[in-house]
Amino acid sequence: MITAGIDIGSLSTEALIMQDGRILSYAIAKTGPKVKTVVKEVLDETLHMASLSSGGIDYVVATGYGRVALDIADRTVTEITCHATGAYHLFPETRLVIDIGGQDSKVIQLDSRGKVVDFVMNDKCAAGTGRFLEVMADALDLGIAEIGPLSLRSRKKVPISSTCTVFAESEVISLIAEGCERRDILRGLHEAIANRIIGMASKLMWTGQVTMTGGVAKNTAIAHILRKKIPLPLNIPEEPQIVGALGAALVAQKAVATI
Amino acid sequence: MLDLNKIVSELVRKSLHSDSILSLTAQIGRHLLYRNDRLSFKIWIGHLFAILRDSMLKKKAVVWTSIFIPSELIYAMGCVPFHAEVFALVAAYLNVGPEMIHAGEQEGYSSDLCSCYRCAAGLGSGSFFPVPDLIISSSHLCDGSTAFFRNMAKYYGVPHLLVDVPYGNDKNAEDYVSRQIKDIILQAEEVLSFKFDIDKLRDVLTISNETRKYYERFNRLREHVPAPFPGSRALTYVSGMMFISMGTHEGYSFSKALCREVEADIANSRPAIPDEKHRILWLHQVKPYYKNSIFTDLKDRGAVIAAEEITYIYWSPYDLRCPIEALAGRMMENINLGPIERRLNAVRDMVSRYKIDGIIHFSQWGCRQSSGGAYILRRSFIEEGIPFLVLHGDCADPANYAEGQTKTRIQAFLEILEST
Repeated sequence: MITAGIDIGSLSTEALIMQDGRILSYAIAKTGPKVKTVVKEVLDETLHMASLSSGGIDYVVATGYGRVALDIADRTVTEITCHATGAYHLFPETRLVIDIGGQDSKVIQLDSRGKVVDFVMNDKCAAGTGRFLEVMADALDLGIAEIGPLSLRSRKKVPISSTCTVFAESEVISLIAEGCERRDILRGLHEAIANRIIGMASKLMWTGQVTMTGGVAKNTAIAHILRKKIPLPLNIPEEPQIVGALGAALVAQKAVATI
Repeated sequence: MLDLNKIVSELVRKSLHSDSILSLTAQIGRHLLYRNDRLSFKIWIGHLFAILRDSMLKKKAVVWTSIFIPSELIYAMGCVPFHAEVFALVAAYLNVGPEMIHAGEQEGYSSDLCSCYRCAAGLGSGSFFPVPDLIISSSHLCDGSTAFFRNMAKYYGVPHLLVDVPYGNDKNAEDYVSRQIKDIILQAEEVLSFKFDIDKLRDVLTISNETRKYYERFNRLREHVPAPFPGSRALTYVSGMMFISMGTHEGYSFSKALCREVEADIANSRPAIPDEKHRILWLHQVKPYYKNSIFTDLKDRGAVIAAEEITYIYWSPYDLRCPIEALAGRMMENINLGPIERRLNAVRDMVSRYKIDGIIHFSQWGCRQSSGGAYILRRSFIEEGIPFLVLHGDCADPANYAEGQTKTRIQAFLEILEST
């Protein structure tokens, strides 16, 4: 059986094709304003990589904030369930999933069977999300991939007190004007995000292993700080950005099996 | 028997030249009357309009009051109670919330204050509400209430009488509250030039006790599976009637009609939703009253609000031998007053009685009372295997409602229930 999982986030869209529990192909693209076009492109790319046609897919599950806009999906499932399913599939000892996406961050509690028992999400603002980091990278005139490694070279932390993205950006600009090193400012920013995530995670039980998913898991500085602050093994998948789509494809596999 | 059509027509006619909320309410009421033929619903609309009519036309002395002052006290004074919070939420339902909230904020109310009071402030200071002769409020549960009512008293130049309700619940505390109620009656007699009749209070409390029996029966009926009455409606008008009509014949008729309708629904196999899969308990006092997708999303996936905290009968029947002390006791018995264990035990009782599968705690923006205890309750119930969603939102201000985020939370919560 062949299934597809499509994760339409605010910043990026991922598609993944799976056959009998095995990943055949996946692709990632920026979401942008034309959601349906991007979904088609990313799905076509995945199909091409798997040497399949669209008729060859038995079941499609859509997830992410754009899930409701997708008319080709057989079912929509939240990113909470999908990230949990994907993370548990990759690391079965996972009991906490930290997903930092483009516009929200969430911490999900799983039981020993991989079932979601509780979750906490950020509310109402983009503080502590991928978008926050993008804005800060821009303010520091750096690429998003550069900020993690540069932050790890910091020797002195410069605390950032604002959690609001707009105010934090102003604070960063002021710190640059004061002559602070970019790497030290970045360390402060990463610490602020990590503390926010830990605050959310504190509402849940700390047990088993932790798996980070979502684009921000690629940021080595965040992972480094979380590893220091959470006394549990922290897993980072090879491609953390596709875990939601992976979970969606797995949910689809289960759905087909029960039809 | 109320001639509702006549009342509504009269209200619409009288409010044609008035730029008041009355006009809007009357219009929506007339619209709703033709859409819903349930007697309980008609009694609710009728009572709401009767309060508006009597207070706008000044048929009796108008006492603005907070929702945690038992309405029996005001009815026993022979006055018409005007619950500013209730009518602020009616305004939110009528889609004028944002405008009134903006007006309230322009008056200096902080955007962090509960939107119910910001909306009421806009309505009150914009002369959309009836002019009060007296304001009586209590200090317990709502942080925003005391300052709001004090400001309104200053605005209208009328006295504001406050019942200070302490945190502890013992004999001393009850005596303290009883003394204040007695003092308030004395002051009200002077301000409104009437003589308080303790026997009239007993009569009002007798009606209230009979009404309470029907509400208890209503709640027992709601233990039925599948749920016979949707929580979305209970949160709209059953809770409203519990605040504004206790001690009146309309309140009694309402509770009786409600029971009969629910009994008929059970007998005729008419459940609240077609295919019940999950029974939800809705915690805290309010829901969003403007257009939102929460209840449709729940219903579409087979989840019914089987019960809600606000319609829980927490108080004992009034002891008619000591009516003032009985009123004080009612205020002190509120499950949200005092240590969190009191509320926790009451919620446990609801979970067990209504065979609850999951709990949604609607944490109202700006309400420390609701947000304060939410995470303690959440942890307790999750440990007991009951999924618990803390849903942050706003009852009157759609600016604090993000549909996409809310949908995701509700859907994820239901996915947890579905996988159980």
